[in-house]
Amino acid sequence: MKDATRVRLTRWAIVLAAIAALEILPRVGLGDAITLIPLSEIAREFFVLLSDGELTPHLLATGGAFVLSFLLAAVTGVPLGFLLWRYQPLKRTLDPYLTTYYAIPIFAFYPLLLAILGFNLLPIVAISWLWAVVAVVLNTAIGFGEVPEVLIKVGRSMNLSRWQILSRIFFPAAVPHIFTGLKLGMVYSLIGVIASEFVLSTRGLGYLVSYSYANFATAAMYSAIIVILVLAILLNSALNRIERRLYEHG
Amino acid sequence: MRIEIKDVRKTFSSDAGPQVEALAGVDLEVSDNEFTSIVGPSGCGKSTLLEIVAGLTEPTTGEVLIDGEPISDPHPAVGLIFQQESTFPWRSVLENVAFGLEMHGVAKKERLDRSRAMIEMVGLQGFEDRYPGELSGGMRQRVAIARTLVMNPEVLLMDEPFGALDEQTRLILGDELLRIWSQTSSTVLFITHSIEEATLLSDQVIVMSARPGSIRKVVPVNLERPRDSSSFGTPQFGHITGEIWEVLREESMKTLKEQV
Repeated sequence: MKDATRVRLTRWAIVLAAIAALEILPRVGLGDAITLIPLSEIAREFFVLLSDGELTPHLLATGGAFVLSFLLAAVTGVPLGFLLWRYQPLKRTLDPYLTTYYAIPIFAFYPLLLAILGFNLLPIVAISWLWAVVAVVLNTAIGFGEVPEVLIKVGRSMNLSRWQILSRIFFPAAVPHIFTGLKLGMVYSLIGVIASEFVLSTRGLGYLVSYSYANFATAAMYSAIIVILVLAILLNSALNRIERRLYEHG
Repeated sequence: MRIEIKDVRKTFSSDAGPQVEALAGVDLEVSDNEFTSIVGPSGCGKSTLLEIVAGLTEPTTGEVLIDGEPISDPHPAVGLIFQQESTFPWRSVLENVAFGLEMHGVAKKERLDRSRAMIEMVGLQGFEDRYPGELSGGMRQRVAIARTLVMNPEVLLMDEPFGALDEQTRLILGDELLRIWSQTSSTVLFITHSIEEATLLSDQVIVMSARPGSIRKVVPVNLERPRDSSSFGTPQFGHITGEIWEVLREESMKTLKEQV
């Protein structure tokens, strides 16, 4: 058997084993009925929620907040990263703040944001954007900084205009790093949305998890968790696919 | 095209640290269609000199004339090839080679035809749709060379173009460069640290002094053309490389002593 095949089979075996364990362990009495229930019951509940249309508003709420905060992080983060690279004094000034940024538990500010922005979509988008944008900024700045000087010299020696050098050499050369930033930003904004819904909200998948938990609706809680997992995996593989299209060839 | 370098001096100054004198008055003339190589100890300013001729760096004093015209910006008829990796990884071989033509608005059909012909000339036919990441270092350098040559430069400036490659690849690419040069007729200024390479390719070899760089010796190479790497063993070849090494050795020793 080829190594690659063995790896793939083992991966699937892990998934199957996990599914089997989740199904069998609760049935043989491991874990109480409130914290752990068989996977088949979760699946049944999931389809009930789905066909009732009970899942849809939560999915839309989470999806909407995620799309907004991620797009916002992308359209603000890339230009800010460019500015940060372009004006080195700015970068030197902000460096200590940026490098320690992710050490701050920013979700602690969520209640404050609620008070300031009101009990709606705005504080969720704001906190997810705050959580995601710095990853985009930092990676974009790194990306522009790592464009080899020789590529710029190629453009200059060919008498290209500043704009041609920027748009046809500089930006494409920085794309891989910018994409790393966008991938991180995507994950961070999803985490931001789910976590804030979890803390305080009336809609969304995060809210559904927390609400179901508080009401002993274990099957519904697991359904919501599974939807979140699937969403994260789908988003990540979609972005990977775009990246491959854009950049990695062969 | 004729290149005249007139008393070019270059001093680098930075906020921190002392000024560094890179070039201390270089005078050099390269005639039309002549192949000139520059050898010199490392750090002698030969790359700086090339960038000044390319119009990428301003000399502190002195000037460079191309066909009698002083240059300040990159001259459109001058092509530059670098030692470092300089292909665009996001473009295929064909798109890399066609880059300059595309930027200068050459119509699609013409630029693709010219690029394909050039790809064939550097021996990369069949690799048009591959990306640099899929090629070896030697092949990538062929792409970079084709990308410059497709612009039909009348002056070709090469900064150790084979410096990052292994010995066999260097020899083969050197032979191919001679073949291409004989077909295109251009004035070449070629920087190398290999005495054999310089001798094999050139009409004259310039030996530069240790930093600050100036010209120590001009060695004419009157070996018959066409040449290729099989002329390595001949007595005349050995005589010329010996003559270059004698001066270069002295200058390299100075650089080494300074480092100690």
